[in-house]
Amino acid sequence: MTWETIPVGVWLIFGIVGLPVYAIFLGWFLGKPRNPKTSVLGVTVFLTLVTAVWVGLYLTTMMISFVFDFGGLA
Amino acid sequence: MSQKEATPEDILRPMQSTGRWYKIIFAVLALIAVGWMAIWGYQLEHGLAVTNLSDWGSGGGVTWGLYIGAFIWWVGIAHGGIIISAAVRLFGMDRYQPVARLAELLTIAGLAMAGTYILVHMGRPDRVVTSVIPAYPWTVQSSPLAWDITVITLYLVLTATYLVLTLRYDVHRLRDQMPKKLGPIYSIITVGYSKKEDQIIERMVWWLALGIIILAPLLLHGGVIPWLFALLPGMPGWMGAIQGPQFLSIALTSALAGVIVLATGLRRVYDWDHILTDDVIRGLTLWLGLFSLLFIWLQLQSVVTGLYAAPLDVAAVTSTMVTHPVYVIAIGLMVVVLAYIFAQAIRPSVFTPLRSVAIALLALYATLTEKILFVVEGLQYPTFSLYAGVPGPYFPSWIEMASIAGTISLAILIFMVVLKVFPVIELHAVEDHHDDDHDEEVTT
Repeated sequence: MTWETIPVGVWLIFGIVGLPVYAIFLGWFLGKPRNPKTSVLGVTVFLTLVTAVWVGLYLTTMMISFVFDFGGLA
Repeated sequence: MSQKEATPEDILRPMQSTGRWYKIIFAVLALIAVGWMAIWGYQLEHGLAVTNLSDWGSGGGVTWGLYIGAFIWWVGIAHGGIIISAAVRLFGMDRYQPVARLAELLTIAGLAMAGTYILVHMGRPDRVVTSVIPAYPWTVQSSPLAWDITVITLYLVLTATYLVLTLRYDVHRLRDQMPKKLGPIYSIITVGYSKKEDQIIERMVWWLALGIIILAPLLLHGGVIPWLFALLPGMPGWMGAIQGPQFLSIALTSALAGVIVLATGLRRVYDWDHILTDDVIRGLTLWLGLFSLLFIWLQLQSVVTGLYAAPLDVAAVTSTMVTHPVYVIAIGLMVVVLAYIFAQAIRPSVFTPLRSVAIALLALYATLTEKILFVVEGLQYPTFSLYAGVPGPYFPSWIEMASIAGTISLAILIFMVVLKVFPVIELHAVEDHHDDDHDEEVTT
C-alpha cells in the first residue's frame, strides 16, 4: 500500500538517504559541545558549497554551449 | 625508520618552494589535459557518433561503455576520503591522521572527475542543469539518475564542508608562513575564527564523518550507483541485489589503492617518510588486502550462482564474462595483489612502500577494466536482444581512451595546485604525532 501511495524515490531519498544528513545537522545544533554561531557557520559553508557546485556547473555548461554554438536551450 | 621529528615546517614545505621537476610534471600533465579537452571538443563538435556510443551504440546496442565504467571507477576512488576520516575521527585510529586530508582531497578530485564523465557522455552537456533542476520534483520520485545526482552532490559538498572546517584551525595558526598573495582566500576560510571553536569544530567534523560513512559507502556506492544497473530486469548482467555489495567492495579496493599511490608518491617527493611512515603505508596495504578479498569473494558469488543452474540469460552473460580476457586479467591481477599482501603480512620483510604502490596500481587497473566490462557486457547480453542486429563488437574508441589519460592528468593537476595553497597534511597530525601506540615506530 505504502509503495503505491508514496513514490519510491520520495521515501528512499528523503526518508532513508536523508537520514545521515539530518543526523549531521541535528548533531551540530543539539549535540555537545555546541555553539549556535559555529553551527550556523557549518550550515552556511554547506549551503554555499551546494550553490557553488550547481552554479559552477551551470556556468561551465553555458560556456560549452557558447563555444560550440548549441543555440542555447533550443 | 627515520629519526626526524615531524614539524609544521614539514607540511608547509610544498607551499614555500617550487622545484624544477614540479614545473616539468605540471607542464606535461597540463599538456595531456588540454590535449584531451581538444579531443572532447572534437566530440562535442561532431557528436557522440565519433565514439560509436550514440543512437543504438555498437556491438548490439552498447550505448554505455568506457565513459560510464570510468565514471563508476572515479566515484569508487573517491571513497578513500571517508574511509580514512572515519578511521581517524570515529574509531580513534590516529596513526592515519597524516593521510586524512590527502584522502579527502582525493574524494574531491575523484568526484570532480566522475562529474566530468557525466558531462562528457552527454550529447548536449549544456542541458544538464536546466533539465535536472526544474524537473527534480518529478524525476526524484522514480529516476535512479536523479537519486544519483542527489547523493553525489551531498557526498561532494559534505566532504568539502569537512575540509573547510578542519582547514580553519590550520590556516589560522600557519598563515604567517603561507603565501601572502593567497591572503584573501585564507581570510574567507578563517572568517569569524576564534580558538574557542576548536573543540566544537572537532565535534562537528565527528558528526560529518558519522553521516558520510553511512551516506557514501552504504547509500552511494552500495546504493544509488549500483541501482542505476541492478534495478533493470531486462539486463541479467546488471540485475540483482548483489550489485550493491559488489560495487562497494570494488570501490573500497580502488579507494585504498588510490590513497596508497598518493601518500607514497608525496612522501617520496617531499621527504615525508617520518610523517607518512612505513607503518602507515603498511596499514593501508593491509586494508587494501581486506577489501581485495571482499572483491574476489563477491565475484565468486556471482560466478557460482551465474553458472550452476542459472536462468539462460544469466548463464549466457556469466559464461561470457568469466572467459573474457579483460575479466580473466582483472581477477588474475587481484590474485597477485592478494598474494603480495598475504606474503608481507606473514613476512614483514617482503613489504616495501614501492611494492605496495606497484600492487595498488595493479588494483586500480583491475577495478577500472572490471567496471568497464560490467557496463558493456550488461548491454551486450540483454534478456531480449532487440539490438542484436546493430553491427560490430564494442571496443573503446581512441577518443574514449584519451579521456582516461585526460582525467587522471586533471586529478593530479588538482593536487599539484592544492599543494601550493593549503597544507595537505593536517596540522594536528604533526602536533599529535606521539599520541598513540605507534609512537615508537614513528620516532625510532
